[in-house]
Amino acid sequence: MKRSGGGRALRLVVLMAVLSLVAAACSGGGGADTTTGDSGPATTAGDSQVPDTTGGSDSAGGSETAGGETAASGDATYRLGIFQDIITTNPWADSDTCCNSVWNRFVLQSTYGFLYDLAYPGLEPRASLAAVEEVPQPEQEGDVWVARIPMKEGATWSDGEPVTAHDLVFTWNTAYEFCLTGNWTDMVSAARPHENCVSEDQEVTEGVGVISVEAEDDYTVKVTFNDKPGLSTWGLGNGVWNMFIFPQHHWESVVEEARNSDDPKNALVNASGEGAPALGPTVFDQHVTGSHARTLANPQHHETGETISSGGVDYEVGPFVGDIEFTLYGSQDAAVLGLAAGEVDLLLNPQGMSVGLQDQVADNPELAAVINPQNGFRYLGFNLDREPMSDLAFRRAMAVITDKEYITDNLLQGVPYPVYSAIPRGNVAWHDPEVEEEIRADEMGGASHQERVEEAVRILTEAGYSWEVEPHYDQNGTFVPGQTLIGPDGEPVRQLELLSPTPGYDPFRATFGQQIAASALEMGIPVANLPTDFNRIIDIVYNEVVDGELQFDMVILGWQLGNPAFPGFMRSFFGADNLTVVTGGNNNTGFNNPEFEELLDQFDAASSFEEALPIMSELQRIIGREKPYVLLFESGILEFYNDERIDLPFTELLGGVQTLDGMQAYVAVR
Amino acid sequence: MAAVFLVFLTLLFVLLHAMPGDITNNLVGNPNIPASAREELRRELGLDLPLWQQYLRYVSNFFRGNLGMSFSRAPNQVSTILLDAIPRTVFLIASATLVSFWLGFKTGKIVAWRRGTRSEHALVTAGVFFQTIFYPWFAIVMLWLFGLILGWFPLGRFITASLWNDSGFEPRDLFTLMLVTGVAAALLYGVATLVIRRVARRSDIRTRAQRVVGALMVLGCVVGWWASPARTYAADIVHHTILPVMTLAVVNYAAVMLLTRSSMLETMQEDYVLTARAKGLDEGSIRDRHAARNALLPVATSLVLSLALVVGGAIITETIFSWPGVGLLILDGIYANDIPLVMGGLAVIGVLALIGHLVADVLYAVLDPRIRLA
Repeated sequence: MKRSGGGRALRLVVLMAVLSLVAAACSGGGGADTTTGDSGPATTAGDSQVPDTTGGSDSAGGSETAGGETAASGDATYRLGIFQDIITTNPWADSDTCCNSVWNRFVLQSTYGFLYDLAYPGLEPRASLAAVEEVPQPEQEGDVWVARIPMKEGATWSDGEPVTAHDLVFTWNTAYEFCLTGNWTDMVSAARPHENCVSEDQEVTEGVGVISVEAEDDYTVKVTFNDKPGLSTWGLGNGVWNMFIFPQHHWESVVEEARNSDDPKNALVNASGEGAPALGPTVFDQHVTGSHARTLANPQHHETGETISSGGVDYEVGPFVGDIEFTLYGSQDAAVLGLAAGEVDLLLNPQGMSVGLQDQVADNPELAAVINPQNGFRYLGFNLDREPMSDLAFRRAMAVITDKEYITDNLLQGVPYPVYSAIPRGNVAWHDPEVEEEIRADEMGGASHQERVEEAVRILTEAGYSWEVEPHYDQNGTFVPGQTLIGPDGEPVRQLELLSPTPGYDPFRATFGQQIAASALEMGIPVANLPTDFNRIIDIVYNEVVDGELQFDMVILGWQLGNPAFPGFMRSFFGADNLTVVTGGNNNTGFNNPEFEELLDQFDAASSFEEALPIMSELQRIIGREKPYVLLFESGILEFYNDERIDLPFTELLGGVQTLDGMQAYVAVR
Repeated sequence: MAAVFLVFLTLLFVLLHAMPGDITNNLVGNPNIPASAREELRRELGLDLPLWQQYLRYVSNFFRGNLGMSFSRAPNQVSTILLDAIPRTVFLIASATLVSFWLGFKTGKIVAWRRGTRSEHALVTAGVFFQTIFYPWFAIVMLWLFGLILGWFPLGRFITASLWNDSGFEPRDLFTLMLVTGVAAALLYGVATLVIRRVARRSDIRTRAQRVVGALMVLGCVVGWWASPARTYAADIVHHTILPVMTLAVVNYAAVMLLTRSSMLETMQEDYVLTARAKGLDEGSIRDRHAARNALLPVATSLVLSLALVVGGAIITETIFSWPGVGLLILDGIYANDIPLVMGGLAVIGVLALIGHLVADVLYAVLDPRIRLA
C-alpha cells in the first residue's frame, strides 16, 4: 500500500506555522496597534500621573502614563536582573514585617523620598527634602523635646502636586495608627505603641521616642519627643528624618477605607500601590508577575541636577535613564548568560553572585566583577549559661586555637577574610582599626600553630584547667595532642556540641565548624561538630528554652547588620534587655555585662557621631575581651555588571552597588 | 479518590511541618526586627496554634477552595499565585510532553522494526544517552548553545519584557487563551475524527481526511492568531517556549522512544503479527496498524501519568529557563518555609496525578477492547 502524502503535508503546515510565529516574534511590536492611539494623558485610579517615556501608549496593567517628559533623563533603559519576584507594590507593606522583601526594595525604594538621606560611599547624612543641611537638634520645651525641620518649597510629587509637611505627618500617623512593624518601627520611633496596637492585658513600657509629629505650617515639621533623643532615635539613618514620605492626596481615601474595615492593617497593606505618585527619582510603572517590573524616570524629582560629595567622590543626581526594567531570572547561571548576552546591565542579589561564575565574567571584556565588603560577619557564639562556656578562659582558649588565617587562606582559597571586630572594615566611619588590632593580638592572629597551642595551654592552666595528657610540642618539634581536658572542679570537661550550618547551606561556615572542632579535639577539648540544617539551628539557639536555659553549647552563625550609619546592633545582640531566654530577643549567648550596659545607654543617648564613636570603640573592645562571640570571617559581596554599557559613579561601597538598589538615580547608560 | 487525596494532603501536611523552623526564622537575621514582631507574625499566620488545629483549619479551608495566604509572598493568596503560574506550567509541560510522545512513539516503532540496523543502534545509544544525561547540566548547555552562542532563542524567561511594556495585553491572559485555543482545536479534531469514522468506510480515505482536518486545525489556529492584534505577543511566547520545550522534550523523548521500542519488540513476537504477514499485508500496515496499536498501551499510560508527574520534574527546567511556573513556586516555597504555597503547589500535582490515573483507566478501555468488553 502506498503511503499517503498527507502526513508530510501536515508536518509542513506545522513547520510553517511555527516559523511564522517565530517570524512574528522577531518582527517587533507592530502587531498590537490597537492598543495605541487614543491613550492621551491618561491618569490612574486616584488621579495620579506618571511620566510617559514610551510615546503615549496606554497600559492595561493599571499604571497609565501621563504624557510627561523624561526631563534630565536619557531615553535609555537601565536593565537590572533580579532573582525573585516582587510581592507587593504597596509602599506601606513594603517595609512592614508582613511583606518585607529585598526584591521589593530594589524596585520600590527609589520611588520614595525622605527629609534626610545617607550619602554614599561616606555614609554622611544629607538633606533631601529638608531645607537645612544640618539635622536640627531637638530642644527642650517644658517637659518635652522638640525638633523643627524646615522643608524645601517647590518639591512636587510625580503628578505635580506639592510635597508638604502634611504628607510627612500623614505618613507618620498612618504607620503609627496601623501598627506597621518591621522597618517602620525604627522610622516611626514612637515612645510607646498606639492604643490600637496594644491588647488589654499587655504591659506597655515607654522608652525615649517620638510622641507626635505635626505640621506647623505647610513646610515645617515639628517632631516632639518625650525625652532628649539620642542618635538611635534621631539621627544617622534612624527615626523620622529618614522615614519614607507618601502622598496624602493619594493615600488618604485608602487609609480612611482601611480604618473603617474589620481588619484595618490588612486592608491597608493589601491595597495596590500602582498609580501612587512618587517622590524619588523613579515612578513605579508596572509589574508582570513572573517576568519583570518596570519603573520610569521621575521628571519631577526634586534632587535632579544636585551634586553629592561623599567619601571623596562627587556625583550628580539623575535620573539619567528613561526607564528601569527589573528582569526576573530563575538561576544565577541563566542570569550571567543574560548579562553576557546584553539582556541586563547589572545583577542584583543580596547573597552576592557565586564565586564559581566569576571566571565566566572575567572572560568577557564587556563585563566587570566587583567585590565589596559585606555589612555583616560570621561568628562562633557561646552559650554563657552553660559550663565551661561561661568561663572566659575557655572562650579565650577557643578563640586562640581558631586559626582564621589558615582556614580562610589555605582551606577556603582566600575567598572569605578573617574578622576580629564587630564593625566590618567596610564601615569606614565606625570601624576602629586599633580595636581590631588589639583583638587580633589577643586571639593570636597570624601566629603559628605552636604559639597558639602554648598560649591556649597557658590560658587554661592559669584558669585551673589541666589535662591527662597536656598538648605540647616535643623536643623534635612534633605536636603531641592533648587528652581529656579537666576542668577547675577536677572533673573532665563534658562532651560539647558545636552547631554549624551544613556545607550545602554555607560551605565556609561548615569548614570553620569542622576545623574548630578538630582544633579543640587536638587540645583535648571534647567538641563535636554537628552540621545541622539552618532552620533547625535557629530553632535550637533561639526557641528551645528548657528550665530557663537554651539548649546549645556553641554555634556558628552570622549577621547582616542593617543601618551602617548607626550600628545599633550591639544592643540587639548583646544587650541585657534582649536576652533570648527573658525577652525572646537576639542575645542568645546570655551575655550580661554591667559595664557594657552602661556604655550602651551612653551610646543610645549620644547626640552626635563624634560623641558616639569612642563609645562604639569601647563596646567593640568589651566584646573582643569578653568574647560572647568569637568573630570569624566575612566573604565580601560579589557583583557583576556590564561595564561597556553603564557608567556607575563609584563601585566601592559597603554592601556593594545593590546597597543603593543599583544606583538607579545616578547611573548613566551608554 | 477523595479518600486517597485526603491521605495525600495529610501526608503532605505532616511532612512539611516536620521541616525544622518556620517562615519567621527569616526575621531572625534582621537585628532591627524585634522578637515581638516575630511572635506577632507567628500569631498572624496561625503558627502559634497546636499542629492538629492548624491541620483541621487547613483541610477545611482547602476543601472550601481557600488555600490560605502565602507566607513568603504575603499578602498574596496561594490560589491567586497558583492560578497565575498554572497556565505557564501547563503550556510548557503539555507542549514538551506532546512533542516528546509524538516523536518518541513514531521513532520508537520504526527503531524496533529496524532491529539490528545501524540506525537502531544509533538511536538507542542516543536514547540511553539522553535518558541518563545530567539534566541541569544539559539544560544549561542548551541555554548556552542556542541562547548565547547561536542566539536563536531567548535566554529563558517567558516573554520579552521590553516588548510587552505598554502592550495592553496580560501574558497570563494570552497564555490561557492560547491553551484554550489548543484544547478547542483538539476537541474539534476529535469530533471531526468521530464524524469521519462514521461517514468514510475506506481506511485510506479516513486517514487522509483526518490529516486534512488536522492540517486545517493547525492552519486555522495560526491564521486566527496571525489575524489577532496579539499576534506579536503570542509569537513572543512561542519563541520563548521553544527552547525549554525542546530541552524537556529531548529528555522525555528518549524515554518514550525506548519504551515504545521495547513494547514493540514484545508485540512483534505475537501471533497476530505473524498472521498479518501471512495475509500478505505490507510492512507499513503490519507495523502501524497491528503492532504499534498494541504497543501503544503502555506508552499511552505513561503519557497520561507523566503529564501529571512531569510538573514536579519541571522544577529544574523552570529554574534554569527562568520559567515562572508551579515547579519554581514550589522550590521557592521550600526555601522560604512557605508551607501554604508548597502545599498548594503539591496539591495541584496530586490532583493532576489523580486525574491522570482516572484518564489512564478510561484510555485503557478505549484503546483495548479486551478491557472494555470485560
